[in-house]
Amino acid sequence: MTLLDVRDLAVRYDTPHGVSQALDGASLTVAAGELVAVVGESGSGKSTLGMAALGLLPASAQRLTGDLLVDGESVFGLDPPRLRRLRRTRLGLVLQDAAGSLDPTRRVGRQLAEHLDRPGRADVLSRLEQVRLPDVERVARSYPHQLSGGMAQRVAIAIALARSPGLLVADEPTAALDTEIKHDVLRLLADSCRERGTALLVLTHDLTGIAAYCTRLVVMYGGRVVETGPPDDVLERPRHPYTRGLLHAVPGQETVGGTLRSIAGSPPVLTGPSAGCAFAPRCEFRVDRCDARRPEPSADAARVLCHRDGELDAVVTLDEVPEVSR
Amino acid sequence: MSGPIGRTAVVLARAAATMVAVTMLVFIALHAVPGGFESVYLGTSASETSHATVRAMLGLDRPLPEQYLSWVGGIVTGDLGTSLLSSRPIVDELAVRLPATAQLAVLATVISVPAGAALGIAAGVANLRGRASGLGRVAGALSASVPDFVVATVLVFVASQAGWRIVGASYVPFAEDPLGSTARMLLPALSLSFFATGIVARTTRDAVLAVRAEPFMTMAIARGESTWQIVRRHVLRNVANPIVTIGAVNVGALLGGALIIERVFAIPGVGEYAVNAVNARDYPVVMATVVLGAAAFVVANALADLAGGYIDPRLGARRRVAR
Amino acid sequence: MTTPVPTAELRGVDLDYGSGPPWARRHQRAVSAVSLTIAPGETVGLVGQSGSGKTSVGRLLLGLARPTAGSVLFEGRPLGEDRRRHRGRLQAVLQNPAWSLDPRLRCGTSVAEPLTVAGALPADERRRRVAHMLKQVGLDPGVADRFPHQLSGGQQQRVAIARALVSHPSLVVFDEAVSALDVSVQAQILNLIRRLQDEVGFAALFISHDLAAARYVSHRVAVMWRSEIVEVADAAALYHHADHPYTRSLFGLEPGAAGRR
Repeated sequence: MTLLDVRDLAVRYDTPHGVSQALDGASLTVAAGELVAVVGESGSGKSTLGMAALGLLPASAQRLTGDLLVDGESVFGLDPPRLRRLRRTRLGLVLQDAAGSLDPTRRVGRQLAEHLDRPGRADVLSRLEQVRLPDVERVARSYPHQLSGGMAQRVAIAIALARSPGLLVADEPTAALDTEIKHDVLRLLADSCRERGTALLVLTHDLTGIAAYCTRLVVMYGGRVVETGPPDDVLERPRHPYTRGLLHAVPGQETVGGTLRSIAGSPPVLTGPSAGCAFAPRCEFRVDRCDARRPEPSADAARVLCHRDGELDAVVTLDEVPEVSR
Repeated sequence: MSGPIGRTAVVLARAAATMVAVTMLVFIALHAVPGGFESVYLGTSASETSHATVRAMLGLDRPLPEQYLSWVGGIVTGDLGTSLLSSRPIVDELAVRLPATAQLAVLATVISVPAGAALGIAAGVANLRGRASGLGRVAGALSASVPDFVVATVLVFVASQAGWRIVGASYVPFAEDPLGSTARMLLPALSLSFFATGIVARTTRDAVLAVRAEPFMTMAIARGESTWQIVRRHVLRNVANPIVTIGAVNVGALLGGALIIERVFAIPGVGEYAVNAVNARDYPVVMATVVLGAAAFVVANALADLAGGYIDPRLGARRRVAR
Repeated sequence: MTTPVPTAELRGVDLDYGSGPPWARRHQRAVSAVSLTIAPGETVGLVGQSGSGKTSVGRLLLGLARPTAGSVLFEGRPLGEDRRRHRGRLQAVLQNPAWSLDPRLRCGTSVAEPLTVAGALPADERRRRVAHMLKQVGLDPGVADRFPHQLSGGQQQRVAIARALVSHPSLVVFDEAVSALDVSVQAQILNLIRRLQDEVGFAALFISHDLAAARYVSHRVAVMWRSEIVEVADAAALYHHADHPYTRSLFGLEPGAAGRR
């Protein structure tokens, strides 16, 4: 059953500082209970996609084409009361700034209680236990600034999941946390969503770090989804040149004395729909048609957005550039 | 040092230090005036000997530090000195006039803080919903630029046109007739609060917009809370601190405004007393009223600081519970 | 890579931060009994979680903090004895390039600034050096006439690196220098640091929470945990194993580093 259906969505921001095209025809479906990681860097449009799913786009955002449906209904067509009801009953959000996500002036337990159907003390404590917090009595009495980042993020997750939403959007939920805590929190997110049958949409820049916790990876670039698939497929047999480049560029994959193959240039800042493939200027496999025509997604489930999908494995073997060894 | 007790001690110490500085400044400023205190008695043509006599009588021949200490000592024990003009203890004269000014200032605060806060929250929320109009800004500019006495004149005119008979009535002490006194005080207090209301409103609006940028507000909207729920649960507490702070700062502006308002409405308050004292160069009275005004300001701000610790737990500076 | 005089050396250094009023001062130990040497031309990685004290070590090396105990030596002499001597010899590259680039100055002016501080140079010589440096960090020399906001994050960090290297420092502290960059740009900067260090030959401290990135650019990696250095290992050895359980946990919890693929 399709829970979230993003159809060729294009969104542009009109601000006094200029125009930017955040989404340029993004398409994505998420089924109920699926754990999806949307991977992209700055300008990929992943945050805009996540905010759009909650109907949270700012006033400066303008939908140019496409649609975004939750439970079969367009969030752009809902009047404010119905949008609020959809958020209250079906959607949840977790942000990067965990401590900032909680009201600094009120005790954590009270903030959680507000969103429980039976806002009793016992229920508050058991919800805090469910997000694997120690010493829940003390946590419930604390103010947000008295908690560490990891603890605050667990509380934020408990609040977001209080009404067992159909979809939880988590925007870089661990980017501000330390490495060891990061993985605990990701595991908690994945486990909690699995237990409730909540679909999870994690937005992250960390392609390899998220892989273990999701059932599907979605790679975004230049406001479009360029490749999707099960984590193992995407990591081991990446098809889009950007995904390949990203995997080669992440430190930790290289051998002793090996060199990281960086992607030249920097992510695009689109001011309008791109004429061809947004990745073409940085792509080592670029041919003329990449600049001229917008690529269409491949027919299979991976929906690879590349003119040369299928040709590349035959054409290129990646040659190692010898550099200084360490 | 942390916790409520340490915080209270710090706030009180700061208030005390401010008062010491204020008394020193006032003392030095007025004793540096050419001509000296005694000229008030003697005029410009008195002889040297009569100058010396009067100086000795007023204790002005003693060294300045000694004079300062005895003056401050007097203040601490409730003796503000003697008026040069009336030769009566200043405390007695203030006791008659202080209630009127206090009533005026309190009433103006009671009007300006809630009204300003309500206006500011309304403007902030309207702005959040993308309905920001120029109206709020024009109103803000008006309140900041139109002088109190103009407001007072307009209010008096409007009220008299509306046939409100209380306008012409003269001052009645609160203790004699609380209701009637408050009713008579309403127009002066409204005039006085006009400026302060604008400041509170603008501060509140800015605070609402700043709070809106916080992630917890995005979270609240994402949870489907209604505007009213968001205002009640999250906005009010988070903007309370700036409102309390600006309310306390406004005490200074209100006391300054009271000087004029008391004249316009012929209220026998401290403002009128101070103005007369300045005109007559009744220095002990000038010093006493300035110190009194400063004390009111310092006390209001100390209270605001203390309240801040209760409103925003982060200011309480307690340590982290755990990692 | 050992020479008689290390470029920088920490000898049993403690660093306490005090907070609160004098009569009730609380001390917090940020750095505890840390000894570390950086040889000329050597890059040492310093890895740990936030609050482990790694940034404090950087501050000590830059002379921005004075040790509570122990000594900090720069080129064999105590640091801070003669600050003039260190001008331009110690540089830093920070996480956010905006912290070291003045938004109102053209990039060329920012890059030239350490030269201006170090002493008088003819204007055309300064311009020549700036252009050369920009080329070395992989930027068009025309970038000198642009303002920081006209550049991407990766380009800004290149400018910040050019600025740090223009005065030929003997020690550069990179404090989370790639953490704020996009993943696809991080590798460019990591490769740039490696290449420049080989070409120019400065000693470096590479502070990062990312063990894999530190291992990649460094000759040796020191791991900090709760204000102490718990392990120092050759970077090459870290590709095979790590001794301290904490170091292992840094790898073990990172599927990326644990060698998927």
